[in-house]
Amino acid sequence: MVSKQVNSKTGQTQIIVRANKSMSWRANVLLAASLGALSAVFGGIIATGGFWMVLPFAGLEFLLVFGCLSVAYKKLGYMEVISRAGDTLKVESGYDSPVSSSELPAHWTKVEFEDPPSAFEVGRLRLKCSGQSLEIGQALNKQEKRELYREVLHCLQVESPRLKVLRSV
Amino acid sequence: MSTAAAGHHEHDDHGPAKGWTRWLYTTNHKDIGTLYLLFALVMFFIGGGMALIIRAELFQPGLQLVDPLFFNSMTTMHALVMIFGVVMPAFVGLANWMIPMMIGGPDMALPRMNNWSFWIMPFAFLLLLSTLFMEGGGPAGGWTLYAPLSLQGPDSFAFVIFSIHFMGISSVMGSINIVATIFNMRAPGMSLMQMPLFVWTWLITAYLLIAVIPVLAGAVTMLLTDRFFGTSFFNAAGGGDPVMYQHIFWFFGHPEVYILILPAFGIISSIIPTFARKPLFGYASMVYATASIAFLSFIVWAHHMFTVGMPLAGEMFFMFATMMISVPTGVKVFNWVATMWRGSMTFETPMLFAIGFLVMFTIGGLSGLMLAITPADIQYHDTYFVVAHFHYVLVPGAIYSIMAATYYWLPKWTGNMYDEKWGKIHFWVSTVFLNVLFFPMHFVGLAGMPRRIPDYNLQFADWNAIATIGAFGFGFSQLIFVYVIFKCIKGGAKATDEVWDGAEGLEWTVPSPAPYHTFEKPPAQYS
Repeated sequence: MVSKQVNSKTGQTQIIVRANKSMSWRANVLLAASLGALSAVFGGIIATGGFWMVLPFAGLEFLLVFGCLSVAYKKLGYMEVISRAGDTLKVESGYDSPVSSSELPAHWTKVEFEDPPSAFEVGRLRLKCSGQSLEIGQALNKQEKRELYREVLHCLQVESPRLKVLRSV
Repeated sequence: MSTAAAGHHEHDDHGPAKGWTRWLYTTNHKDIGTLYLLFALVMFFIGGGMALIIRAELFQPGLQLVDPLFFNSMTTMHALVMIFGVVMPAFVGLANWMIPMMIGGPDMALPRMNNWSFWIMPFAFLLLLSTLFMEGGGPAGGWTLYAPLSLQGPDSFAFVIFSIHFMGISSVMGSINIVATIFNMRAPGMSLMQMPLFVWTWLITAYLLIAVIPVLAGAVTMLLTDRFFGTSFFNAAGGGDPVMYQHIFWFFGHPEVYILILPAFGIISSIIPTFARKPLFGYASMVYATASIAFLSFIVWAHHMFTVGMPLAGEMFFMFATMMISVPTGVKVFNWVATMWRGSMTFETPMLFAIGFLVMFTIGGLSGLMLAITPADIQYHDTYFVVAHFHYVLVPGAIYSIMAATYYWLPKWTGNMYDEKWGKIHFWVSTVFLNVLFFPMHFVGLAGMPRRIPDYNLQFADWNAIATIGAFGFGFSQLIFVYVIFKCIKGGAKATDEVWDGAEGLEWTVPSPAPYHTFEKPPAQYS
């Protein structure tokens, strides 16, 4: 999902990029618990007849279900924040707090979107500057990548205050 | 570029890896979907080859081509390959291709695990098939591996158990991935009751798999310890209970039957509205019917074992519970027919396969109802009537739905239209031979011909000869399927975005899969 908001501290407009997260953590825990409970009931009933070997497999599977849902939920918490301050385009990314931050000269940066013809390809969105590239919006689908492309393009096209001063001179 | 913290998101320009490494290391859901589908196709021909060996032996009475042990190995392997190596991987392949697209997600929730869950499969089947070349041969006690028969087999049995464990691990990982994807990665605004039915049926299938795979794993591990470590879970000589193995196995096995057919319901529910050019009749009732079938699948297992002896109350319970399944199944069939009613129908290949599914799956369902009646089942048990029943459910049911799905989505996958003429020829030739193959099995079954026996009474000779002709015709007609697929991959008329006139759903109407942008909560301020 791509959204725009104004940072209350700096007054800058930020583009927020987040993966779709259609279920809460609590609901994920309930899901894992319901699956675990079902397996435990089945394994437990069979174990009462002395056929206990179903139980360890049910337990292992529950751990796998819980672990996978945790990893999937954590991955979906990944966020990118793209903002422009003067001549600098800043891209920060992380889960709860920024763990990676890149600053690019806005005038030398261009945004490129490989829009594949196949409806089944999501394509790649990249910021390119001085021979290097930075992929953004990896968690998005194609429609959302197109939207992010437009937003970033708009952000890059905004004239910086310094350039305005130079032009006026 | 000044970088405060070197991000792991910095990339040089690169596409997918070149050559075989692309397929080995891929975490892309489309690549993995393709791998699953190709794997299923290869296994379809391996399992089909085994079926032809069985039918060649049964062409006439007496022992002609293979010895009885190898014949039994073939029946066992054919079932294991077709169930775990063809139908399940093909459905997982379709899920991989379509579910992220249908719910508006960029990929599966756990792409690396997705890669693992596929690559376990070829090793599992290499292990399984290699037992045919080991001392004593492969498993020959039937796919159910009933104790004590399976415990008397060769040492290669251990490899069979390990391969089943690998298949189970692969299935569980795939199912968890599907559940995590559907629940967590739906596009904003897409509620559960807005999901396409294919997604719904797969969600319920994944639930079933997660619920019952530990039961199978436990059962086969107890077989392993009985065979090699001196335990007596199912060994009557040591105080064990062989009948309990049957209960435990079918507690897994009956939900497994629905695991093999529920995704097919989802596929047919996608195809019929497209070619009838009408919305699906009774979407909500389809969802509830699917959930009801899944629930009932847990309480009907003993109808597979009426003849082992159980209290009358037990027989009555399992008989009526089994018959109850026909209610939600009937709802589905009614809804498909109602969808077609007064629709502007056209009969392209996917629709032909869908209608073939509808008619012949219903025949299989009706013979299933006959088998549910306890006193009748005692007569039919272990005869070719049972073989006819489950083949009518699985071949024109599961296999036809997979073929329908392939023809339906192939133009989207490849960008090319498949050869419609050869697609229709494939359908008609397959359908004719399929009925020549399986319909006579009803007659010989009702007359008492037992299954899993390489020789038979002279009175069954004519129908068996006809069935064998049907088997070879059906087997060779699948080469047309391969021809059509590879011709389409290589080229052909360009497919439009919508492909089918009446197609609806994210994958057809929009060039990308997620037009939903209605957010309930604004994102939190970040930095």
